[in-house]
Amino acid sequence: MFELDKAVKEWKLTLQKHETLEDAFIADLELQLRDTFDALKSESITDEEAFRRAVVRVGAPEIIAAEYRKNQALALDRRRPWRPGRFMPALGMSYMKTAWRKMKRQKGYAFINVAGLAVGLACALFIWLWVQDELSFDHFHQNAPALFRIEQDQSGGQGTFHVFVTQYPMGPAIQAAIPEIKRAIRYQPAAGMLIRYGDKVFFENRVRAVDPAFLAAFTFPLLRGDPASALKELRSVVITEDMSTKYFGSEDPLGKTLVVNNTLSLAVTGVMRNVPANSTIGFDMLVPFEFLRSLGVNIDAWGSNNIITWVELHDPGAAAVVGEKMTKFMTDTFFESLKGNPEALARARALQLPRYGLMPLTDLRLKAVFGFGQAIGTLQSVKSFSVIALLVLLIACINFMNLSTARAAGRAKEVGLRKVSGALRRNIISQFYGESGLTTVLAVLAALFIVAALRPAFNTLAGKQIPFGALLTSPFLLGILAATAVTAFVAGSYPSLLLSSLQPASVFRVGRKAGGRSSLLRRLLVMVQFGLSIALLVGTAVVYRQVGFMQGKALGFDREQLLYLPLRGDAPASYQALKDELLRSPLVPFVSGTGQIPTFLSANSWGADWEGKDPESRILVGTTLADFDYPEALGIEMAAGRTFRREFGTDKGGAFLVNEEVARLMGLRSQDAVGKVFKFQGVEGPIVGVMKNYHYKPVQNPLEPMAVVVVPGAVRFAIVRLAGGAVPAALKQVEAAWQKINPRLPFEYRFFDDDYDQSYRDYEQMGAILKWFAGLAVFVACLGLFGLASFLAEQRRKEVGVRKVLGASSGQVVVLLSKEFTRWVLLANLVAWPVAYVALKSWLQKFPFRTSIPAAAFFVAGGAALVIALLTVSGQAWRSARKNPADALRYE
Amino acid sequence: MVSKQLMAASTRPIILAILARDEDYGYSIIQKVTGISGGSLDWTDGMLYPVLQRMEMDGLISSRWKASEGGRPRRYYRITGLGQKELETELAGWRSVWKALTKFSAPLPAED
Repeated sequence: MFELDKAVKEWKLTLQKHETLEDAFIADLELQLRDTFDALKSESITDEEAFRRAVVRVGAPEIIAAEYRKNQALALDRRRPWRPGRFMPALGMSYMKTAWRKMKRQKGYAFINVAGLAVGLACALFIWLWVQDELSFDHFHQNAPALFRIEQDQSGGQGTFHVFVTQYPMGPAIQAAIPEIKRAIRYQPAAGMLIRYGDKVFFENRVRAVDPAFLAAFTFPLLRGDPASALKELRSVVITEDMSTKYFGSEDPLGKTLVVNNTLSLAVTGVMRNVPANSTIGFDMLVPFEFLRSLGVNIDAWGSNNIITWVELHDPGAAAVVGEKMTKFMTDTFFESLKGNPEALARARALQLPRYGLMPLTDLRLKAVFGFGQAIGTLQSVKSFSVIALLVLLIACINFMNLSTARAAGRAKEVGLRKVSGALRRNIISQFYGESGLTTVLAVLAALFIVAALRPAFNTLAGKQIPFGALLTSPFLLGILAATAVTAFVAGSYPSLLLSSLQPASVFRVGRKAGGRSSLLRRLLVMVQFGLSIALLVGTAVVYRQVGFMQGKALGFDREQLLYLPLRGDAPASYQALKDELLRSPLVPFVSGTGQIPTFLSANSWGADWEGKDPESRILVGTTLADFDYPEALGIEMAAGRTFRREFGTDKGGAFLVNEEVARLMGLRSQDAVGKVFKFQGVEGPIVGVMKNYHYKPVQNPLEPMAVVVVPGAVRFAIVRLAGGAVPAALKQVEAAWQKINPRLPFEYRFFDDDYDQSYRDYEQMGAILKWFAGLAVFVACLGLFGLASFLAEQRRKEVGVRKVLGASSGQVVVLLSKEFTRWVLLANLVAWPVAYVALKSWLQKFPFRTSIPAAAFFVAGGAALVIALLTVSGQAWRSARKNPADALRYE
Repeated sequence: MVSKQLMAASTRPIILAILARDEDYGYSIIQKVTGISGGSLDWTDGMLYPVLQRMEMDGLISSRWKASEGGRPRRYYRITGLGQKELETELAGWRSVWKALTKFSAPLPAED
């Protein structure tokens, strides 16, 4: 019996043999067959016969298949060639996976990459924090842009002398005269006061007398009290939180009374939040400026520059104009005061009077200048540290580039395969940028961890108080983002551009060594890394040398066992008694005193005059009011003449001791200067002696002309020389003498050498920071070198094997593998030395007394870099030299 | 009997012409061609389908499956805009061929 379905099924099987007859086509044909069959069946033939005819009518499968094949070929022909899509997330995953697998398989390289970058980034981030902190100084004031400090340029025979102190009445006077000034605030910086509350008594060095408007102009918010009225009352005081705790503990300080110098009472009218660490204006207590009158200060006197005057302008843009107006106003005022004296007026008109200007508050930290152009701002450090941070980061980036290109050989096949599978150049580029991005992100995370963990240590090192919150501020986060992007870009550029340029055909050709042509660049980069490291090492050495130089420099007096006692409160009155009491001890050979802090004699004045001086020339001379025995107590040698003697009546207040600089200014030899009449500060008298130059300020300050006059009543600091050896015993006696004479005052003393050493701390700190960064630079560079060396050793495995088989010793192999790097590290010196020399030369310029840059520093730094590099490389070389050559050659 | 070459040349225009009237399916197209030509246009049935596929590739016709009353699903073809244009071009071509052929095969007129 004929079964249609079965027959159709068999027929379909014959069709299915033809590849081009897809199921859909067969379905079409089957329908055709069935329709034809149905049509034929109606005639008087058997079903079987009808089916056979229908099959014939449909036609031979070969021919139909051939037709379909033609269509298929045409379709293929017409199809546009395949292009990769613009956005293929799946490919991104593949890149990530490849990168991740590479990292897992080559943990060593991955570690070196990430660790090197992380260390470099951490350095950069630390320095960024530091720079950010430096730049943030004084910006917390709400109207910071409108606040300025009045400064002046005084000109004279030695050049222009820049000062930022002004005369007492200047502030109110200019505020009245110049409409651009919103307010002027007087600010008296130095006033050591004895403060007592009940039985708590301390010396306070950071008490400032200010106009009441201070609290309105500056943003030092009060926690208690009303800023508008806090300093209105004459006997009021505003204290910081710390002071509140120090004197009052948990008591409420408002309305409590502090006693100044055991005589005057001040009511606490405000408690202020502690002054932020990034403020150049620092204080613990504020008293009304008028209060200075109670301390016997004549705040109406013109004539000498004693206080800082701040101004707030309506429009910060008017600063230059206000400067001009101030100069004119002060000049006019000065001439006005001389109206009664035509002769003096004529002389004054011939002089070049001080020019006034405004220094923006926000520039104080960075750009402050003092004296004869001495920059005391931190701008230079900010710049040099920023450069160093970038250099360390660059070294870390170079590591990444070097290792990536060195490993290009291993990746070349992958790139070739990707290209063959349709990857375009830009796909490869984005893949490798993505990889460097991934590494960088890992490194950034590690760097952030390092920064967060080491922040306290860095604060100690840098002498800062950078809070953890600084890591979360938007500029810092933006900085991180920028650093990440830049690092990923810089580190990823070379490998991605190199690898993406590879031609698949040449990659797969046997015997081809990829990455070979980049080896020159790699070596150059190693050279740059070591050049930078060497430069940093030299820099560190010279900074330390300069600090050592300053610490060790002969000061022209004996600073050992020399101390001074600040005479505060009513202590100056009993100075003579104290001196007599002290001299009773056999351990105290000399006692003298000065009006200013004896380790930083800074007062100076124009208007020194002497016989034969050019009347046109104005000379700035340091003024020191001292007691008898001043040169003796300090141990200053005399160049000519004698010291002050009590037996000469005029020596007290009527004679001068000068230093050699004064004699030089007078154009005289020291011995000829003796006996000349000198006029200065209203004193006229002979120069009785010339002291050899001595450093009356720490060594980073220039030695300037200085004249000493005996005025025992002006002594505010007693200088005590202790006799050899028994310092503790002598100190006990000094304290006993103090207690006997000044029972109500705490005993306080400082050693001269401590003060001097402390003033070098900034530079020591700089040296310490530099030391760390130089060390890290070397470390990172070595990390990279290590990676590179081990890679190259690996690459030359077979060569080493062959050499060993042919009789090379392990030593020879080590030399072979290390030679290369030695040459480049040596060459690095050539780059590093001139750069370091020029940079250090300019840094040393700012020191009037500076060390030389020793040739040895260069050789030692270069040698150290070489030794470290050799140790790094030869370790690897040794390992590969010791390998059994059979292992290297066996698989051939 | 129509020659193989003429068959090859005429298949596509004929299909287009049929589909220009209404959509249709393979078997029915063949029936119509065979019926109208009285058997002189004798296509191998199976060969129609590659041609339809090719015409669809060229965008002259489109197809869709449709269930018919008989229960058997059928693939219906319909002419596209492009196909309409193609048909007109073809027709113009065929007409000029026919014109030329009839003109030249007519008995020569007596010369004056």
